[in-house]
Amino acid sequence: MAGRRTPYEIYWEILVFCKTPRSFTSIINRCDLNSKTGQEYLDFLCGKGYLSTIPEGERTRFQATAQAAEYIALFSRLYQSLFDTIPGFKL
Amino acid sequence: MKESLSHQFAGELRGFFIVSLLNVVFAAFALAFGIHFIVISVLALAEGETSYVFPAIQILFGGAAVVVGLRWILASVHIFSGIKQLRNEYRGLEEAISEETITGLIIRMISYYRENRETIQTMIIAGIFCGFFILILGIISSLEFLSFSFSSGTFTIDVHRVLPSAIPAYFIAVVSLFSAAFFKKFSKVWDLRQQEIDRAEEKLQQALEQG
Repeated sequence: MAGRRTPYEIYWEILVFCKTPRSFTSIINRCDLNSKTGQEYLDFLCGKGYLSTIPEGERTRFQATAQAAEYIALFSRLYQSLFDTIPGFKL
Repeated sequence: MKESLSHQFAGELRGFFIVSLLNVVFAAFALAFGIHFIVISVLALAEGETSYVFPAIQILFGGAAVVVGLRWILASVHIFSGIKQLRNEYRGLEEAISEETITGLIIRMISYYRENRETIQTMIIAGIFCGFFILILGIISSLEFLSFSFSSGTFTIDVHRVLPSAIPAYFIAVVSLFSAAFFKKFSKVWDLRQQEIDRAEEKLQQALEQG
């Protein structure tokens, strides 16, 4: 149940999952992406320096860089603040 | 803060789970109500006690209620299964919930809401409409057993005949209206959160560009 996510939410999910080195297949499976869009997201994050690639024989693994921690923290803070600023749903 | 956020999230999840379940119950009642109407009308036609017009109208209303009830059940089950899945995931978590886990769940919840927003909006409108419609039907069926005495100026109601037909109608109407009201409340909260997310995206965009 991936639902409709924004690109920023998908970036966050990829970066959190890649705190430890991950293969392309495991990333697209975990983040519920198809190969094409998955590759686009990874290219963007690698290009911006949020992900680094670790070659392992014929395969490549992706790992979040120290820079990614700032984005993850900012994102988490913004999303968690949704519950502080807006009165919640109660029966 | 993290623990209170987790509790708040769990509370909202539980609340919406109950409302969704209530909605499934309402849909089942609407379906049963429609079938009940059709059966009663067909029996009346078969016995030839009344004219054809009134039972035929009742069959049409009953048929409409069955169609609405069926569509309603399918939509409600879809909404309910999504929230049940989220709730089960939350319940399967360990006591100490990490910040990332709770943020991940917030993403799941908002993406679930985005995906089902249109259905929820339709349910709010249809719930209000059906609630009032069934309430009016209940009142009309109650009036059938109401008599007025001009000589004494008193109203008399045949409670034994009113209760079996009117009580289910009032019950369904109340459930429907409550369900619509709670869906509206839930929708309002998550629409506001979505607006906040839209605003936050500027900051996220800037953060990413600086990267």
